[in-house]
Amino acid sequence: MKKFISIAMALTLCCSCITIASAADATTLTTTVPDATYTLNIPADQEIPFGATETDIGSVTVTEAAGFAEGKDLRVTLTYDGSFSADDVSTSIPYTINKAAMQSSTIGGPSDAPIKYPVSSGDYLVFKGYYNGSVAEGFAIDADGYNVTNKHLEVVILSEDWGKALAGDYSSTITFTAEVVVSES
Amino acid sequence: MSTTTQKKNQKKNIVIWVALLIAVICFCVSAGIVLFRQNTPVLIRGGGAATENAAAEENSDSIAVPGYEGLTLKANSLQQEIALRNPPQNTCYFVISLYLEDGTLLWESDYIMPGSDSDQIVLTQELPQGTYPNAVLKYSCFKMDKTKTPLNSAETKLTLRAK
Repeated sequence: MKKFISIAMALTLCCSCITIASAADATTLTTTVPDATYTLNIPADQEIPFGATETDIGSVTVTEAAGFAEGKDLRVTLTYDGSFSADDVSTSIPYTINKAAMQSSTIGGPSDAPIKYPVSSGDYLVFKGYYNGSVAEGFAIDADGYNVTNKHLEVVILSEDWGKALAGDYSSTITFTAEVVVSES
Repeated sequence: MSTTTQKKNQKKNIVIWVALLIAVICFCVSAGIVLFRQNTPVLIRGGGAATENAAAEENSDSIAVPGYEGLTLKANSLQQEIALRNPPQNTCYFVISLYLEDGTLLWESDYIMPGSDSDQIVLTQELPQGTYPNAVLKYSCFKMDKTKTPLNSAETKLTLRAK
């Protein structure tokens, strides 16, 4: 009987050891991907002087970004109705928005002469995510693949459109929509 | 002095040193917590936050809008424990609205001063447990004058998680 108990105990001990050994072999790896956070900086109000055909209205930048990565970007879409209107005046003033872009595909390249061209309502800028969790703060890539400096959004009003507008206080607003997206390329 | 008294004194000394050591450790830990908290975000619940920057300077040329990839809400509850912030560097009022993807208004704040938080969010309807992608936080911005003239506005798309 003693022998039987001894063998049973020895077997139990062996099993326990095997269990422990096999449990020790299994390594569970886990990770948590945090929500990305950021501060989107958009132009505030801007008084457009009467008769001005090109007015710098400021820039779109992204700061205090965290939780991004290469392949996880921030896309900012501009939406605007394209005309200034006034409450008590029947006329409106059409406008477009220009942005400054670099001609080369790399910032700082030899042919980086800035050019200006119109931004349609619905066009977007992409702030590329970096490996360190932030995004490119100083420039973005637009829908056409241009590197865009963020310092030159301009409201463009043709001189003849100023001429057609009756006297009044006109206004218009631009909406900037930011969205965290998976990189397109 | 007898050996027993010496031993007693030795024990006493040890106790005093141990107590002192514990006190020093407690002090260091407390100091560490205080220093750490100075750099923690103002708004934590919901998984995202705009960091309070004491050095933030007012900037009337641009509007700073906090963005989040996702927010976590309490499922099946109108009362939430989240408040959203108008960053201190702004010089305009915020009115923040939260919409579901289908345009259902879940919450709208009052006018929020720069550097202030909204009241805690109270939803217009309870959200069952689940994930709600493509929700929208709309930031309407207004001049801080009598007429509260509308300024440019911003929207951030995010995923709501009701847990």
